[in-house]
Amino acid sequence: MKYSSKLSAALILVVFLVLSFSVLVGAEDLPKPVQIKVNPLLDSEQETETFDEKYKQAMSEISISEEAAAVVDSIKAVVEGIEDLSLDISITEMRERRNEEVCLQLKLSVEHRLARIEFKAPSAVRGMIMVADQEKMEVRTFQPVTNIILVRGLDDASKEALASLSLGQDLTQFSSYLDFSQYNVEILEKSELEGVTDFLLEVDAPGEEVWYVRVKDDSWFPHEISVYKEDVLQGTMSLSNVVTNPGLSVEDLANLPDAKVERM
Amino acid sequence: MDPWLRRLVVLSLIGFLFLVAPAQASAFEAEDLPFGFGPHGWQAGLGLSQESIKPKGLLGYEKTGIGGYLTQAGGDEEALSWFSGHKQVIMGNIGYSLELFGGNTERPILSTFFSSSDPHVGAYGEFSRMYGAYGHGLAGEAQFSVTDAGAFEYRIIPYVQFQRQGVWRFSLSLGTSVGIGMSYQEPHEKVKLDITFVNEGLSMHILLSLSEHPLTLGAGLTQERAQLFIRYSF
Repeated sequence: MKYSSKLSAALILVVFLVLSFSVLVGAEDLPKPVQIKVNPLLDSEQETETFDEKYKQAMSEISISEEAAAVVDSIKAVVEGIEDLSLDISITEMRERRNEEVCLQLKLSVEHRLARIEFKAPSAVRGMIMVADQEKMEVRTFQPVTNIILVRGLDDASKEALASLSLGQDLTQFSSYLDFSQYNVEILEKSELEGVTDFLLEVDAPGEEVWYVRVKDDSWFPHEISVYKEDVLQGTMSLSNVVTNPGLSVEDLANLPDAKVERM
Repeated sequence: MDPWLRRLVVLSLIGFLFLVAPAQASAFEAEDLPFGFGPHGWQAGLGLSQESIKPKGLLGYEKTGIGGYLTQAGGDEEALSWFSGHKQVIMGNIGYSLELFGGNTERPILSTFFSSSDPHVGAYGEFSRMYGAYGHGLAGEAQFSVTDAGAFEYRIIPYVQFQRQGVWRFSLSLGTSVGIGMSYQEPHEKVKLDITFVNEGLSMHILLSLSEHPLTLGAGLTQERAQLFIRYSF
């Protein structure tokens, strides 16, 4: 069915919601140790090289790793300092015949334990609004086609999203979605424009996936994440209009159109 | 078709609808007592309905249910009945529904309005597509009379729909009868209004649910008849 592909793309962003929310709620957890990929410095062939060459190579490796660690720590510090957040997300999923794009606005609050998604595109989901309430452990979804608000358990919704992505149902593995310190990280590219440095990180994510994360040092909030699996691009998520700690109220997050409520 | 055979067909359909009902339909979740006045005088009866809803993916759901009512007029009129089974599937902004029905009253407009007709069986299907606050859809209805005449009626109903303080729908009716229609549904479905202008003229129906009481009030007006009803839900 034509819609199913769009649905699967939409599911990715919902996972992002759950993940991001879990990150923020779990921000007080102890940070996990940084695991920076460092290539072997010496092997049998290199033993024949001069000591100076070995030293320069080793220092080169270490300097990159330290910088990557600093970038990862900066991202982590920003994410852990977020009390509430508003941003626009565009997810492009690569399909066999064509790409599918889902656009939405995400708002979430650690204090209120609420997260809100407003779908902007494609038309198959435009106008739908989801509000996840971790306090009540429920998800409220406004369905324009029937003009009702459907209420279901948060656990069920999370499982649906995770199962659809074949990522398993263990939320703990996503508890630090934007905390890349638990993965091997390398800086692949660094460019500077008008005093702002843009980093391209390679993150060895679980499930044989590799994430390419772009982050600028003016915000230290990732603005693009591309997911590759077996060297094939699976999708790209662009984050824009990021506003950290805007002081979102419960009304801002939980307000839904006036409609009949039905519980599942 | 012989009368006994016609009755057998209708009864078989009713039995089938109950058989395909979900197992949890052993107890009806909604019962009501309709009491009304119309072309057949005073009428009273019993309405039953059962519906289950389950998620379908993350952004969709599926509803399956049965419902119907049986009423008896004050005089020697034949009992009026109408039963249906339905399934509705919603996936994001796309919705499908199918309803199979049978009885000897017309397909109810806005819940329950008693209008006798020949015993019949039929099907109603609908496809809806929204684009946020506006959308369109296509509905179709076919009805076979199980009388000697064996009449067949059908309608195809394209419509547009938008949301503004409720749901507004403007439709065309093409087929055995031709006309136009408009309906409104208040956001909480407390007030529903339906106006159609078809071959035989204008008809208006309104339904009002009282949130403080388990009562629903309805009124219908066509060129030939007017009817009122009150339904007590328990």
